[in-house]
Amino acid sequence: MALQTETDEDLMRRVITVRDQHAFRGLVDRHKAMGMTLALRVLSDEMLAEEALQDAFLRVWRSAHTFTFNSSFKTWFYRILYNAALTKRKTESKTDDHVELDEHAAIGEDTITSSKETTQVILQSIERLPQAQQTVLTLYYLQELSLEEIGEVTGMPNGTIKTHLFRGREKLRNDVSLREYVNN
Amino acid sequence: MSTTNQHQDNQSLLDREIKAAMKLGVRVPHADFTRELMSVIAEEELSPVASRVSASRLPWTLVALGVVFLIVALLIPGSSEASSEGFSWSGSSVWTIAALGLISLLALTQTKPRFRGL
Repeated sequence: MALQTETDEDLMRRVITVRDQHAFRGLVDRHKAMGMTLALRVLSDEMLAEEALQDAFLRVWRSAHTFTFNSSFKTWFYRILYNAALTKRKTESKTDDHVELDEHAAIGEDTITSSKETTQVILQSIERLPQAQQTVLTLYYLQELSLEEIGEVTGMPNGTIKTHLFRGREKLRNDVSLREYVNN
Repeated sequence: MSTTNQHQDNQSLLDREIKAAMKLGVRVPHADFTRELMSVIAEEELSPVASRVSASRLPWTLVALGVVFLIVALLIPGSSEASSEGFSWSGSSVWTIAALGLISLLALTQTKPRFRGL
């Protein structure tokens, strides 16, 4: 069967049963970009993010037998990656240097003139959000995980996730002044 | 359009914009990422026993052995002489060379470039 038509779980089954490196490579190719983006949200450093990603994939390979198929591979992998990134941040003694979004620094409504600009503003604003909000927003919007799955990945209670999601979204809304953008 | 409906429309548009921005902001690891990772895995599979030896534990084992050999070398009285019959190997010099060999091996393992992140 071609790799493209197989689910993550199918590939994991092959990794577990016959230590299929080809199947594992398929998983790496599928998840490395999303994984890198998530690791960057936690670490804010490209080199460290890559190291955390490598570490996470190696853990998946070495501990494949511990995957029980009770959750999706995606959730399981992101939990490993999230923990690897947190550990790396701790070992690098890197303090959370993210700053809370300054209300006064919000982009004026009249600066939003095109969707491309909006995208840029959102991307810049995300970078300025606290790490926890960045992580939750990334898992929700990019990885398209449910609130329950985000809870499984991060270990955060449902209420905390909702709060991070709400606050992060509100800050982005303030920055892009989307309401005015829609009206215009 | 009612205020509530308009709010919902804005909300979903905001969500779509965030989603689109997130997708555009996806970052990929360096080009050789997969190849490097797979080569480490292939190496591990070929020598599973060697891979189980902790990279941090091995050098300390070498250091310990080197120190033991040096102590033995110091305890054995040296009797090597450069004479017309040539150099004669004493127990002490053999132990000293063994200790130096182990320390050199340690230096080699420490300077060997390793896969990033391991």
